Amino acid sequence: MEIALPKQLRLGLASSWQSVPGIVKYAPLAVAVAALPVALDNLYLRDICTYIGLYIMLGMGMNIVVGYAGLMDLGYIAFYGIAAYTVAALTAEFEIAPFWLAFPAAVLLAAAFGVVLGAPTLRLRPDYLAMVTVGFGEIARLAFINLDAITGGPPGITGIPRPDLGFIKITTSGQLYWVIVAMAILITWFTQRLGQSRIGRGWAYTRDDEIAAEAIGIDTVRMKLLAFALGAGIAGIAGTFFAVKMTMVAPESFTWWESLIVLIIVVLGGMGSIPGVILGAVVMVSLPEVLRDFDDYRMLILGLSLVLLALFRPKGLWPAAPHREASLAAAGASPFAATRAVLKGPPAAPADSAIPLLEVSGVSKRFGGVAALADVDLTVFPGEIISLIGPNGAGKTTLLNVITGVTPPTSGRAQFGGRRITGLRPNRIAGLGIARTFQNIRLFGALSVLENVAAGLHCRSRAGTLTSVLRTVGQRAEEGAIWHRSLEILTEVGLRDRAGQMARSLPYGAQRRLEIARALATSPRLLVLDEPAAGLSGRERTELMQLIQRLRANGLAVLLIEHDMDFVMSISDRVYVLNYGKRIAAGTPDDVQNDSTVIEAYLGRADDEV
Amino acid sequence: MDLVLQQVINGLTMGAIYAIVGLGYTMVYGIIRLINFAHGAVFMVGAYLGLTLLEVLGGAHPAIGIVPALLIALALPAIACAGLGFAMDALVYRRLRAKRAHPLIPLIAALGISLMLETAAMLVWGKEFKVYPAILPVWHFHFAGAVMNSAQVMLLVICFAMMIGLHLFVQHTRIGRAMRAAALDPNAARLVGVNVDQIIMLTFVIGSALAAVAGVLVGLYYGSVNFRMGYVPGLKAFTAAVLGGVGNIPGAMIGGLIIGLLETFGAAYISGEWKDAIAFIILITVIVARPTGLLGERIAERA
Amino acid sequence: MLLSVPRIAGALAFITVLAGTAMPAARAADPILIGFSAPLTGDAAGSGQESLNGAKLAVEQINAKGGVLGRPLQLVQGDDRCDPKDAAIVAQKFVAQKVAAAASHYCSGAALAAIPIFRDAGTLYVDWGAVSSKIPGSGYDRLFITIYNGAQPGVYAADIAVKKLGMKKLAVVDDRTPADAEFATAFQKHAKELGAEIVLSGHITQGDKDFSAFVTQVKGSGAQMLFTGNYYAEAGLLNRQLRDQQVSAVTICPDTCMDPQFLAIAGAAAEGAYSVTQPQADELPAAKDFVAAYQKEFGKPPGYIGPYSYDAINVIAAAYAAVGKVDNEAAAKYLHGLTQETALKGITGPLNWKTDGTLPSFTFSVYQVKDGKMQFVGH
Repeated sequence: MEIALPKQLRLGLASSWQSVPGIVKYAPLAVAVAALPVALDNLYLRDICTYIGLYIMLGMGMNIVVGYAGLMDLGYIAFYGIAAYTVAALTAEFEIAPFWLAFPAAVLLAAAFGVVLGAPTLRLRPDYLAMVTVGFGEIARLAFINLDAITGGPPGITGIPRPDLGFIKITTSGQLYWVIVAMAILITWFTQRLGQSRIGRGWAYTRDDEIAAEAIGIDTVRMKLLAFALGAGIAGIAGTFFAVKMTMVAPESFTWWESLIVLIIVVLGGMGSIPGVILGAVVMVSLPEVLRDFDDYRMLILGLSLVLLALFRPKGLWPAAPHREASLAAAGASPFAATRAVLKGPPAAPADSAIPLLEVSGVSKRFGGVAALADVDLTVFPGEIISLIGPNGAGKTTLLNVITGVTPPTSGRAQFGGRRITGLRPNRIAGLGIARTFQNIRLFGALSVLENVAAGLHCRSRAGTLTSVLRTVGQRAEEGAIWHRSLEILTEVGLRDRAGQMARSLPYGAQRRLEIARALATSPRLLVLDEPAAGLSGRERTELMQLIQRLRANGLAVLLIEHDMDFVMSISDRVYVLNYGKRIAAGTPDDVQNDSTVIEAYLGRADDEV
Repeated sequence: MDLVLQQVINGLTMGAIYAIVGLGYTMVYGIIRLINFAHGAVFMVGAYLGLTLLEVLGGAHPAIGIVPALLIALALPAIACAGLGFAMDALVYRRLRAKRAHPLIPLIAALGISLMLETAAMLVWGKEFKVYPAILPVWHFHFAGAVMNSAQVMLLVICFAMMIGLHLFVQHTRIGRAMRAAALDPNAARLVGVNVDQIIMLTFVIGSALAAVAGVLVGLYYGSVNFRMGYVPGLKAFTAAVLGGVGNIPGAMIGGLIIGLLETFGAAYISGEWKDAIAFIILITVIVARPTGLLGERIAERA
Repeated sequence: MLLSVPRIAGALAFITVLAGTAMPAARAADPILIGFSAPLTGDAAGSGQESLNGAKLAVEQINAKGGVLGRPLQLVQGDDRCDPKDAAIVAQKFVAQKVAAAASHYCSGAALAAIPIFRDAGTLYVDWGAVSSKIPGSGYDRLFITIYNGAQPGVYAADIAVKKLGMKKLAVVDDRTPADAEFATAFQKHAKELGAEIVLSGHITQGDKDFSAFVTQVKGSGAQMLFTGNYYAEAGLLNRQLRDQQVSAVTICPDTCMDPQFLAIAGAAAEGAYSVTQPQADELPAAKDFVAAYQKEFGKPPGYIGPYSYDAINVIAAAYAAVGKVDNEAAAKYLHGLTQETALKGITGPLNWKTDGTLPSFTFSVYQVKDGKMQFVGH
């Protein structure tokens, strides 16, 4: 029977329930479950729950790496081991530090190893990263065995004392159990909040399309490194408590198999899903226990389960909720009074229309023996609309790639706002105020329309890991501003109604507009569009033209590649013509249309190109 | 000096095995970018099948003669494991491809398969080491102070013959060309009429057959097998494939030989306890410094 | 919705099942439970199974004679995969299942992880396979070890090599597992004390098959004898590969090489290899019966580790029988009180213990492979 509440009250209750922090809602539940083995006075069950707690921590850390950032890590347990050994060495082997010093030292060391391993390798393709991490895991294990002076060699280190924090001593495994439960809850909360923040979105963008993410100013290498370091640090926390739980460390604890267990926890549960990881940890720790009586068959059953899971439940037992729901909820709940002032803009550039905004000089690019660009010059003044035309393969997109930092030029330079941008990474260039779209649209297909636009605001906002987790006043204001501004931009391009849809599901024309909206969100001074009108209907084309003109009216400069000559000639202030990587003409649309070289090289064949 | 030569022989022997097993990794990875962790287990299954066949044929003194017994013990496991490779692809990997699963999912499936194969082998053949019948007459060959025995010579000859054979097959046959095309760009290959699924199936079949032969050769040379024997060599074989440039068939061969040599020399002249780390240190160095491997990779950048 | 009724119900059902597995087994004739933890899967599964056979045989024999104090013994087995964490969980499960005693552990890491739990529960712990000197170092007063410990085999093998066999140039290899690393270090140290030269000291990896790089080094070193601190699989392969490269060095090995698998793997290459071990069937009548019974039960000769776990079960049974009740405090006191004269007669030699739970003098014999068989050659 439903209790009839006044609608107002019901809504009020619902929204206040939603605004209750997750930790307040779910921590009591977790504690209640954790109290079960204690209530049953079953030490075996309590031990299992202790390990579930440790593996939840490991799973959460791995979830940041694998689920959030989309990186492969098959040597994850090495970080766990490094921390466990650090604590063991400091508190037992050498007895040089008390627990409260050894704990942070261990976590920092694990995170530092994450950075050291990640820095040179995170630019690699994901599957290579997987192999590098396998190697790292094995090297770490061999180091545990063979660096006898530090690690105690093959038998490891015994007699690790239980934590003594001065004011509180955790001596029994019963007390330690509650500490581990508390840490697991804390880390779960940390991971969950981080996932639903600017940082979490940054990872999602990086994971979904690295090139697109960089083009709108997201430092993907930094995002990946952050994920790696946080993952390693969390493994370090788990490793520390593993060491004090066991009171000993030995190399056998840190095998490849353990890394796999953690990976399986995340994949089994559902990548990116917090309840999934918890469920995964519960299953992976307790399943072998339930199957213990089957001994010889249990690995067979485990193997079979993995295969069946991959085939029939590839998204995991408890898949992550699609991102868009979360962000829409956030958008709905955020105070729209928040101002845009919270968001940064690109660094100031001269607004003087006589000083070039973008100046490309003598740029050449060779791919192997082929010259894609040969000594090309190009200038864009503030507020100008410039078109780049030429037959297919003329080097137009290559030129855009050079300008936006995707492809480094073989020689020559580009300056933007008086600043040399050649050699900068795409995200830096986007940060300076050049935003672009791609010829073959690169949206974050699995994310919502709203989140796609918000991606453009990533480089204009600043909330870091800690503020994101703590949800400080400033962070909340910034989040509000991001959603507010994103909706504003969506309204501007006429996609407000589709804010909650998955980007992939939009019709083609809307995808083109969304990509432009995302670029606009970075508040660029120069908008670079690669064939924006391709595939658009007549009406959409007109709307696009109007949009570009409106943007120019607001002081934005636009550089575009287009094959549609009517479009180009009616909208452009000036036109550059490329052929075989060379600039063959430049000038007003009229000049170019009457240029004999252009007619010969290009316009004459324009018809059969469509 | 004779010791150095001996170490070279030692390294080549192990390297030839890595190369053959690595071929299976590289062919599959080259096209579908799956690190087929179950491949090492196929190698192990091949070794066990060879053992069982030799025992059935009469152990160390087969009634049908040594050469026919050897041929059967090499060929039948190869065929059986080819079937195993086919089954893995048809029952698991192809379905996952059809679903366009996240790249980690086939990896998890591969781990599951390898766990199943290992445990199944443990249940069928036991946890103990199994000893191969000493079917080969023991001859020692001396040259320049180094020594090799008959099993080792056979191992090297067969491995190199298989490498050359595979190379010729891939370079000079229609199917081989299709394989290369598929590795270069599966979508483009599909457009020009290559049945990519069939080619993928073929790489599983060939790779598994090669691994099985390598398994039997290891059994014959080292004399004993157990259910865990595929795991570490499998990892190193993949390392070899990466070293040579994944998807690159001569690369895997050369990569395997280099890993074998470096590991041997590292174990001998640096330290034995770090032997397993050597392959991985090489791997990390190569991947960071030259991600396309020594010979360059033959796979499409699908950015 | 994050929490649905079926999901919660599922979770509760799961926890119940889990709790159920930890409950004591049905009380048929109120058996005395003995926890047996060993690697039954994974790399060391072979030795784990072997030791399980030994323990099972002992339990069967005791039960056939009416059990202990009129109660049958019942083995509660747990797979620890040689992983400390698994060993800790298994130990905790034993405690939850109310085992009286534990006859456990093949790997030192597993033993070291389990000891704190046994200590908390007061379990009588007889270790039949883990030999690291850190185990008696734990100071648990209800710990008794039926196998040699720490440096012993290394020291003894060095004595044999240098004093008995007159070897001057020695090489050593181990696989960096806790036990073997300790043996190898002790061998080197003691051999040097006796005036021999250690010409080569190397390491190989357990589970590896190719040791040719090391074998070539042995060839170059001119060693007369090689101490192989390894499991039988690696020791067998080493012998094989020594002969493959026609290296003349003779090997000497701890009792791992007494395993029939050693002879099988090494084949003809084993000829002449030495092994230092506990007294075998040819010397001890009790051991002879064990070999016969084992062969009958499992259809193959026992491996090297089976006798120790067999003894471990018998020690537990003897202690309870002697004190007339299943009381670990009394049982431990009784076992500690045994002297050389009153020592229990195990199939691996006399069993009495120092205060740290190790055997005061482990009796070693020397065996050598002759005509394809391990044969007694002296002490």
